Amino acid sequence: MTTVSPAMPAPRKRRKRMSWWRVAERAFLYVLVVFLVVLFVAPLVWGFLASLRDPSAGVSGPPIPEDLRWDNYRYAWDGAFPFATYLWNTVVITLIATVPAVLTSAFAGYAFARMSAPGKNMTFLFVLATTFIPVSIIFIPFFWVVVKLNMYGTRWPWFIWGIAGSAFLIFFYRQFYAGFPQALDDAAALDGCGHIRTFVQIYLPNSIAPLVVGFVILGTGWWGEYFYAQLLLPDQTLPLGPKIAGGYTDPGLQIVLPAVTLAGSFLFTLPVLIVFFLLQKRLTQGIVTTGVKG
Amino acid sequence: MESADPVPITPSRSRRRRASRSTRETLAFYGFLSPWLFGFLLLTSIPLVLGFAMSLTNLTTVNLGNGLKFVGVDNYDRAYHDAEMWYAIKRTAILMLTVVPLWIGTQLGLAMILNSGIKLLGVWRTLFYVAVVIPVVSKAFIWKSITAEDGGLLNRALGALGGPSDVNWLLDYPQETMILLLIWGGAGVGMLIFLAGLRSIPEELYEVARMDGAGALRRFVWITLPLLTPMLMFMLVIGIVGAANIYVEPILLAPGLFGQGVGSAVPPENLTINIYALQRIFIEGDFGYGAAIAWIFVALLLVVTAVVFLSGRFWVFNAKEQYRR
Repeated sequence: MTTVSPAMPAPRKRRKRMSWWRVAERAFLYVLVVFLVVLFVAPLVWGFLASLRDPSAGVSGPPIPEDLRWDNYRYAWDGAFPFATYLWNTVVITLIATVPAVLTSAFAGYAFARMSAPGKNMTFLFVLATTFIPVSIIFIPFFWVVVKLNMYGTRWPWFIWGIAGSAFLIFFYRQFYAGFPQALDDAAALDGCGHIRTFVQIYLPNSIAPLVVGFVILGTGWWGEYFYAQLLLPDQTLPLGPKIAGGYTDPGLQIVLPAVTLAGSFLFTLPVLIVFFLLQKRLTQGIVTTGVKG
Repeated sequence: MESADPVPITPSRSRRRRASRSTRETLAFYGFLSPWLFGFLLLTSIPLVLGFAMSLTNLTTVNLGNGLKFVGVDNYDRAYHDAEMWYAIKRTAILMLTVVPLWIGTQLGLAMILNSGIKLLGVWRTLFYVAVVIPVVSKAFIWKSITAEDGGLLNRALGALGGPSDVNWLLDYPQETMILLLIWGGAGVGMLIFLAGLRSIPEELYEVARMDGAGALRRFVWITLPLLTPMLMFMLVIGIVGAANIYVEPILLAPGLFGQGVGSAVPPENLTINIYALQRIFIEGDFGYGAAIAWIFVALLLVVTAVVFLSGRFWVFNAKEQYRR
């Protein structure tokens, strides 16, 4: 503000007049935002501190435990079950459910945004309607279908979920591709590109950010999914969700160990956090620039 | 959307080409959709039809082999007279009526703060969003340690402010505890979507309003809100459906030992209709009845969203209509 050139006295004067009010307003804004950030981050910090407490005790005592029990993490890693094995299971399930879903959702989104066909609007309604269906309706018949197809106890259902895509992402990509200029399609058509080539060579390379958004949104969901995994998979292919949800006990299965369970939860969370922080710029900007509009 | 044809050579040829083009386009459209259609058929349509058929039978774990018969609307009739089901519907309604406004308020509030020209925008945005990526199982354990009766963060904060510091949150205030978790973990995505909406409002509108002497509140009420109504409608419908379908959080936040799955002792305050139906199915093995409850729930949800959606005629700002006049 001090760099306003002397050639422009008018704005300087105006700024000076309203400055104390502006400063108070700004100060309030920053106090507010810091307060809210503390509210949003405090649970994570608290949970992390609690994971370093005495494994069998609660969370009473000083807020920052005097004796930091890092060995909770070692016990969470190999004390109760081989964490690495289940971590790998989680990676596999997440990838087979997420990667195809992002691609097929982009395909469907493109079709809804850039193509015309009879029944298009009706089909789109069906896509949106799938989000209404609660798990309690679907589950038993779904289970029956899985058993009939000999997929019980295998990872096939996750791959089929992957192929089926996600209604939210289809909607998201439809909004995104609807914003592309028509001239792009025309130019591609003049060059003799069919829809597949237009999509793969023009649209897909121009949608890296939304694809990343889709991958993170869907992937974090599947990473943490535990309900279906618990009911459909045998122990050796279980992802970490159900394993962690089961909690940790001491080797004699006598007492539950809340601090170790939290340590396990953080180990389980760490990979997603790393991916999120690596991609966060793309992710948070991707959602904003794609602009989901009602 | 009409796609441009290549320059026609002769009229008759172009007409024939257009006809074949539109057929090809239709085929291509359904080709692009085929993965989704396949999944829709296998994972949604077939189970949905089977689920409805199931709700018309007396199917339980006992009569899976024999004794299975068609009972018509008996299950629906039973549900109608089931006081506990109506209680579950009431709890679901209360949850929706609290969590949806709180979601939208938090999301819009955070988005407006981020849109106010604040410095370090990316840092704040990331920190507000980070809870979204944490797996729900981890969130639940973090929440259990926060709401712990003896020395939990929430009780400590309350105690420091002069309130009671020995509240058993999971047992005595299960719904409040769950709502706090849902807001913490569910505000991020909506915040970014609202932020996109705020960014799309042309700055000139605010300039003009400022020149006319409109204060911040009036600018918000007369410019921001009307232009955000299409997005508010979108978030409202997403929020209603999302809140109605909650089932993992009540299970994971059930007090007591760790993760007993569907069989966990969900406190009555968190007995949403989804949980009630799942309990009939998994605990009592009463498949037909559970399916009937789930269908009643879907019917109610459809009515609610349809009403909300149709109400949009009265409050959603439609730019196209305005320009046409």
